[in-house]
Amino acid sequence: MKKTFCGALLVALALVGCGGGGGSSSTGTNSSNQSSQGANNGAGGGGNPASTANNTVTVTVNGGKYSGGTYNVMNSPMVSVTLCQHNTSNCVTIPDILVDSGSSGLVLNAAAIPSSFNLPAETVQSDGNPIGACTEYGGGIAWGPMVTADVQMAGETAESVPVEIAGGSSSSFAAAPSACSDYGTLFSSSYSMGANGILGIAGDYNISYTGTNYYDCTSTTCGSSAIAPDSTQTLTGVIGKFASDNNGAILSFPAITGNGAASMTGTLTFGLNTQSNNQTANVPMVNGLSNSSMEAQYNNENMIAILDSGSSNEILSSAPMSTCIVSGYSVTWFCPSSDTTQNTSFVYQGSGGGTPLNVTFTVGNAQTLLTQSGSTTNYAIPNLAEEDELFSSQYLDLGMSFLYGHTLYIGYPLNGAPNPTIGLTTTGS
Amino acid sequence: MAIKKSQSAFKHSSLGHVAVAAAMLAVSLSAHAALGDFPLSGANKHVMGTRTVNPTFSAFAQAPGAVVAASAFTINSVTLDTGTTVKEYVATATNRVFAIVWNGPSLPNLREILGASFDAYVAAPTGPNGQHPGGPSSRSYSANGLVVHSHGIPGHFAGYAYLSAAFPAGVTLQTLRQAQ
Repeated sequence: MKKTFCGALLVALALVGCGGGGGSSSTGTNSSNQSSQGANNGAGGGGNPASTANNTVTVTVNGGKYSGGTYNVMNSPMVSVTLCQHNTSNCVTIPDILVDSGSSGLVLNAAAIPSSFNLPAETVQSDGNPIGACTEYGGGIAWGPMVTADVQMAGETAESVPVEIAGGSSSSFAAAPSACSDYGTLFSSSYSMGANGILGIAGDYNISYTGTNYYDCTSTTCGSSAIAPDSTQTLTGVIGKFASDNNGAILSFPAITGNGAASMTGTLTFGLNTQSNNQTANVPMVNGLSNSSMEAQYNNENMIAILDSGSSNEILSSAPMSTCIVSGYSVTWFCPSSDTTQNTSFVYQGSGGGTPLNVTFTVGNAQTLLTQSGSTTNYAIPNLAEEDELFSSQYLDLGMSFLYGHTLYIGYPLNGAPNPTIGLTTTGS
Repeated sequence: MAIKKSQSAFKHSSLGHVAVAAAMLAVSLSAHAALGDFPLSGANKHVMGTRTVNPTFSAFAQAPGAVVAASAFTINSVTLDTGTTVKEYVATATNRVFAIVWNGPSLPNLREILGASFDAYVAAPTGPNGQHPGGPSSRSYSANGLVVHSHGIPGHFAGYAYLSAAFPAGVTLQTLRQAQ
């Protein structure tokens, strides 16, 4: 299943290609330059009835005081999510769920859910066995059963959402088959996930976004080959299943003053152009690829740019800046002697690509940022960039340390379109 | 994942008995195909194709020593059935892989391509200093001359790994960055 899709995706990427671009000199927002993609997003301003639901939740970056965690994580944007047994008031609220603009679907950590709270399993329709899910992230693998829950955030409810309960090889569910566990580190606890769960906000219904394989499992073992469950049983974007405000999401943070802060609060707003607080009329939007990625130019090269709140910092393949090692961290950081401005341009090469979106980001000295006075209690740190030492990716990954001071708009694809639209502004502009 | 005889090796061969013999030989080699060991081959059922080239170096990056380095290693470019590509840097003198990079829509089977280094990577603590780079999108390991870094989002994964002590003389990370 996965393999077929991924081949198709590669072909699609090759066809759209890269290149071209350049453009205006504006940075971030461009209020005079509304693109056609922006106008295509969601309900638009054209007279659709406005939702009256409370459609925004607070996102907190404060080290993530998640269950079982023995240390804190920096630049991890967290929200609370309420799970309910379908159509009942039997609910639990789970804090410190990481908001991930780079994935889709809700994956919760078993350790964060009270043992007394049970949710019905998604089962294989042919034999009634529970479905095990293996979801790939860049930093590891979520393995566990699929269940069904009503999901509430702010005033919104999504009914009967398939949710993965990641528990690694816990005794309550079969161990991951090798076809899953051989691909990376299992998120076997909140400790290794760094959160009580992951709320992917990148897409709505397109299951191919999730990078998830499913298995037919008994209580003790799973089949070795992936299965294809019914599409109503697989991971899906929660926001897309809300009754209203379901056509997109906005993740917004104020800028950090100085080199860091103990905590920062932003907002996650549901829907585009459905209420007064989610208008995109002045937001330049570009056609994206899957999961908040888009074609881009950086350092005169064509590449894929990823706007990923699930990355704590930027990851750059090729940048003309000095690097350094910071004690305690297993990566190579960029450490320019002073804050260095970098420019990139998001350019969609397909038809209706619209105007390139020019973006400026800053790379600070990681040694200074990570060891400054107060750094041990600063969980929100801007302008951190690490080096992809072997240029493996040709990706420009702009992570959470970039998103401070920015507002990210994700318009879910409509009418079967494969990919979202992406907008980015300077917060408050 | 058990390594089985390659279906693709048969599929693309017009000489069945030759393919059988080649596959049997390759099975014995591919059981040790990984970082620190032999390069990947078509004996791995997920390998759709391989291409081994002598490295060339972009003109702007031509550096002293590059000529020496060009004969010190080859690049084995492997395309997996998921569309993900794996490049293995293979030391000429030993025919052992000393560095790898991957890039593509799915994670590669890291146990297969990291070999003996896989267990150290997946078991590594994610942050010793009270905080660490958060988020599910990346994971890094660096100890005892082994470096592993995996990052990305569904649809766009990438990573690299290398064994510092296994680099051929005169070859550096910068050499590999400049090699094509």
